[in-house]
Amino acid sequence: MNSTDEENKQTALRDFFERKLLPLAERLKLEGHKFFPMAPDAQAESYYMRRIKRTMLPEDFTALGSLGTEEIEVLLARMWQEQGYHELARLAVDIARLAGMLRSAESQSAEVSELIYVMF
Amino acid sequence: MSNWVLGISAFYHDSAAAIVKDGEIVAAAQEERFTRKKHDPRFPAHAINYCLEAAFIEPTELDAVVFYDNPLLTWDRVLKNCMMAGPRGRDQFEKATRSLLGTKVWVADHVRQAIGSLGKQDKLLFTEHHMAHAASAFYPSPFRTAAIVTIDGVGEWSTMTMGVGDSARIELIKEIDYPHSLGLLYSATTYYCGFKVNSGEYKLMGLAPYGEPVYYNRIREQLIDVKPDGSFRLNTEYFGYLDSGIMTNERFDALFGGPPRKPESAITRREMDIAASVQKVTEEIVLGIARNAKTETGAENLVLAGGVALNCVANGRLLRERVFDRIWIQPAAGDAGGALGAALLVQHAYFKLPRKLREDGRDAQKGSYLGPVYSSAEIQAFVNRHGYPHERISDPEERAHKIAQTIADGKIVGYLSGRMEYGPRSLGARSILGDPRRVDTQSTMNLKIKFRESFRPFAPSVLAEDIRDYFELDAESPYMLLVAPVREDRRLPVNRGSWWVNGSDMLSIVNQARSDIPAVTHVDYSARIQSVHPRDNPEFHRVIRHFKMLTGFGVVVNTSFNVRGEPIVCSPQDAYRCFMRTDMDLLVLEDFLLWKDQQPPFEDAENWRSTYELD
Repeated sequence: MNSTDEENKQTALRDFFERKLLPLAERLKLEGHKFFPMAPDAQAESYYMRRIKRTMLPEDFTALGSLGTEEIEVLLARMWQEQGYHELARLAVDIARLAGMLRSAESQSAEVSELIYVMF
Repeated sequence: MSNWVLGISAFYHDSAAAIVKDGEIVAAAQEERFTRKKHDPRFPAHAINYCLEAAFIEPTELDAVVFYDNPLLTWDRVLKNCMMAGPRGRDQFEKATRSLLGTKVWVADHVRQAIGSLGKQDKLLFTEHHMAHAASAFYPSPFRTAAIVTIDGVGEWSTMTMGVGDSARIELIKEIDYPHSLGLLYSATTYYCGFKVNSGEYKLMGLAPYGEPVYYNRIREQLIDVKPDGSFRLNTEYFGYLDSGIMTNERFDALFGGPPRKPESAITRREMDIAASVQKVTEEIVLGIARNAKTETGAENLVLAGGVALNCVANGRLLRERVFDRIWIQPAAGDAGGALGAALLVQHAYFKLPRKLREDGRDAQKGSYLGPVYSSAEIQAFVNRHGYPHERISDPEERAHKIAQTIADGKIVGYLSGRMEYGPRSLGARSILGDPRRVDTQSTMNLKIKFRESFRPFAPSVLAEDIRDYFELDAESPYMLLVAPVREDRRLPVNRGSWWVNGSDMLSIVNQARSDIPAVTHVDYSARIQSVHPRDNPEFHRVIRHFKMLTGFGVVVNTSFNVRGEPIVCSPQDAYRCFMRTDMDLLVLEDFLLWKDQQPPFEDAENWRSTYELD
């Protein structure tokens, strides 16, 4: 990987975050929207959520298909449309493009963070 | 025609591979054992190769290859988290995008690169993370039906699920989602008390008995709200993992009176009390969830998986409270077990294979001895090639007697026998053995063998038929996943008030004899027990049986065969290297015995104390 490639990736990531994701996030925030609760609710009787998808059917195992950039775009857009996040769905094409740009089968680092639980 | 499925877990921590045939586990192993990099998160090419070799099949013969996690769902969670964090989420967005969109969604590329095929499906299958955990807990269990509970840091979105298993069917009914996570609470406290996240959580558990739960109310009032049904929600204002690179933040610090403990600095009363407090909260939540699962499912049995299921103190309390008649916990309860669960889930839920239970009523995990084994011929070649002095004792009883005598003489034995364990615990296949009767065994093994902090207790391996002679435990514990008290009639009085005369001198505390098996008795008289059944491990059972013949005690110290910071050994080479780097007295490689005082000087090309970082 040369430094130009790396710079392009960096620029693409930064641009997406600053120009597309952050403005959407701030709009949603102004509308009072939260993707998840951030604090306890004294009024709630329970914090369990009933699952909609309770079992894995055969088609669930293959739902990601061959998972190329086209599938990534389609699947993300569909998921967010179904969730009602239409503006987010419109970003699926950019996200798929980022995935294609960042795609690498190179060996990752063997280091596991000591400071934060590995969540991604 | 047999059905073969390869399961893979990777890219977070503890990558692993597992291969199953017609619902039967054939092989499974963690990548770290081959690469010698602890908790290795990289694509498990070595573990996959081992699984295929153990199965004697070509990759093209695989009916399916499955990954244990849905990267797009994970991306959904990560993206939304970054959006909630706003400008503060910038760094996390960049790291996460590179990781998820750069590597994880392209896991099929890694599979093709490693084995040249995606099996007969010609595409990679994907499960859901907690479904894989659930499958790893239910399918190998001895139960036809059971309630299922999985609890971890986070999968895609779920941090906890509850469901039911019946024959070959798994149904998950409810869940709790990110950012509200018992696993993350425990990891945050691990970090705050100066231990490594992703690997030090069980140290926090081992520290808890030294303290008092004086922070319990503070945790319950400020950090986490727990409802009567066991469900919980965190107050995320106190946690840093949503928008920074560390688990906690200044509010968390202020709650406990100061900054986090620096790693390797002295452990103070504060950390002990915090450990005790969060452990108490964790146990209550696990119990509450279990009670709710009982109400929800009406099941008699419970199976557990997810990283929090490695909290064997909580498991022991769950058993004692008798919410369920029987409990079974997946030995590889963390992410490594996802490989196994994913493979089994594909066999039963995708290919619809029926699930067969063992006729003897035992579980299908095969003692969790699922890794590589080395033949006597291979060991002979190894010792001959290097010119290592040895004696070979082919008669199993004679061999067991000699090993047992060595232990009874107060010596330390490195023991490699049979197939390597799958999961974080050593179960008598890759173990270091010692005499539990001696007061100084714990400190000797800690300082001269493991080179580690002194407060951490060792675990006993006891003859399954003798378990009740030593411990207040009414069940088998073959996988060292249950903590129970040492029997009262074996305990010795300890003056806890004298503990703090010398400040936080934990060595003086740990060296106090607390029972007639002091080396395996924790400061609160508890022990993390492995019961050894002759059907699961006849060799190891034989050694302990001979130890009993010599000493009257059917229990030995069993700690993992590694130095601190190193993965458990896998091969004879690993074992010999570890043996020569420590003060062990005898190395057993199957039927070969190597005595330390006969070995030539060891040329250690590796500066291993810096290679294996302090853990």
